[in-house]
Amino acid sequence: MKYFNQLTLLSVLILVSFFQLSHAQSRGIGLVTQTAESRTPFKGGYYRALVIGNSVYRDKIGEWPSLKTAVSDARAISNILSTQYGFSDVETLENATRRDVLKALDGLSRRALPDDNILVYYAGHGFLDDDSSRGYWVPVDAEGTDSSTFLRNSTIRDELNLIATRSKHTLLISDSCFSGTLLRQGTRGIRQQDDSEKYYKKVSDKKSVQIITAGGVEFVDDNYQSSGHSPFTYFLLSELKNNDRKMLTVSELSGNVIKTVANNVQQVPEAGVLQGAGDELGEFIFIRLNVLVEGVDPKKVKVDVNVLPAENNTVNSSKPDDLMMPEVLQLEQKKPAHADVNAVKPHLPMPTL
Amino acid sequence: MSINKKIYIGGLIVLLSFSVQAQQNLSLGVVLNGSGWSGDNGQGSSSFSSDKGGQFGMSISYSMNKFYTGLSIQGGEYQFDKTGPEQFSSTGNLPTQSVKVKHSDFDLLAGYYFWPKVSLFVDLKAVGSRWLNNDYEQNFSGLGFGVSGYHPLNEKWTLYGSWGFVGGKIRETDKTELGDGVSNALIVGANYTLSKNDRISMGLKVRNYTFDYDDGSEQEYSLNGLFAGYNHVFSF
Repeated sequence: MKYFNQLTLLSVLILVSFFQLSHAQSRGIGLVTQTAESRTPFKGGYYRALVIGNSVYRDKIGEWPSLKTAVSDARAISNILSTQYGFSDVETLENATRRDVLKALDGLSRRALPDDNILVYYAGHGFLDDDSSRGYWVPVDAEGTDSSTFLRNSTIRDELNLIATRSKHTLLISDSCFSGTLLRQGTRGIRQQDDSEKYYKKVSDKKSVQIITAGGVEFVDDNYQSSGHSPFTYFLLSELKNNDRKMLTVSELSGNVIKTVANNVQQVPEAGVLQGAGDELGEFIFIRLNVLVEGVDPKKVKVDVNVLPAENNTVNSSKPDDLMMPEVLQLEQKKPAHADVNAVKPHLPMPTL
Repeated sequence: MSINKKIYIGGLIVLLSFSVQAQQNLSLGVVLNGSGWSGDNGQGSSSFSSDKGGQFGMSISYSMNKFYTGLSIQGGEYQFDKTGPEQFSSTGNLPTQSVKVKHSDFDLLAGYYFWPKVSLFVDLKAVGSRWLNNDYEQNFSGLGFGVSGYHPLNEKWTLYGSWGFVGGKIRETDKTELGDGVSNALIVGANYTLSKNDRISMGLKVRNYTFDYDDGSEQEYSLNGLFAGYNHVFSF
């Protein structure tokens, strides 16, 4: 028994020190299931987002009617990014003027660090100048069809370009009419999906500057089935909510959103890269917090989709209003969180000889 | 290879894993092993068998993504009514009858899932046998290698198994070497998920030992039987 005493003591010491050291190191990402904050897979950069929702337009000419869902779209996007995807720096602009947007984009580019993941989301009116084929975002202080009061696509691209040069992965999601004009150059198809760790590491290491738009050069719908969201953002939220994988690339996300939107409304979203911004065929990767629900009966798993009631959408404030929390609509999850039993390594008794 | 070197190798494997960052789980487990002990004292000598005994074990294991390590201690007593396992000691062979023998297992293990459902592991193992009639004890210790795998049936049930072997030395408590030994073990079991953090397992464990003593004696025995266990998992 002398051997046993020596071996036991040594083993316990090794195990305890191992546990403490590895626990202290577990702040990185890798393939960790996150609980609070996400970092760039395999790198360690931060996840930041600028989320813009323009619903209430000030235009006295009446060219730009209020949108029912843009603000609630922005709130829901901010909410899901910060609570379920570990975005630690989320700035939400509601009913933003041209100056507000430019100032926020400038601030975002100044905060960006080399390994960061930057997401910019815009929900609001868009405009297409038929003569020049130029596309614009329309801020709430736009005056009629005076395009000098709009945000030209080239300006948005310039801002995005600057952010892209300062960060690792940049993603623009634009839910507005004619937003596809942002993509008239450099559109690419969706890559073949691969869920291996090797693939994620490969695309994570390469720079990406990606864009998802709600449509091409067309009008897009508002308030899908009275859900309080545009169809594009409704299905975007749905995909993000129903995602049961730790890592989700933009190609995977956009592929699913394009299919579901196109199958349900007369609108076809587009996805691509921002040409000339240094895209290296990398991928912006969303990291889902607490994706594994091991031990929970999949039939009992529900998914919350945040929906702001239509009557609450006429908000005119520049800050989120805590008193107007979104209602929760319970929807059945498309796939159980651990439907693929082969995807999760079970906790088994230690093998012994 | 000395026992100290083996310990260093085991420790090195553990230390090398420090740099890995991944999902971590700590598991505490208990197991009841209703094994019988039967064998042969060799060279035309008597065979022996006991079904009056069993083992109780405890384990602590730690997994980090594809890597796992752990410590398991298991022990129990076996009553031999007639012929028992002989004592092949440094002072001569001593046949035993109607004897109670304590059997204990110690495993310090580290493994890695080189494939999605299959892992390879190394096991620093020590087996102790203590004859309670004259308080004589000898140990078999060595470094083992094994393979384990699993197959999920559904979200609750998972079949799993492992096989491996150990080569080592037989020693008395004062480190007097008595000979060489080899053992192999096969586990086939099923694991059931009770809740997010609780598991029960059951199955069959077969262990075979062959000891070649320096004086030419040979002893073979097996510990075979069903087991049932419970594990609580802490995820962080």
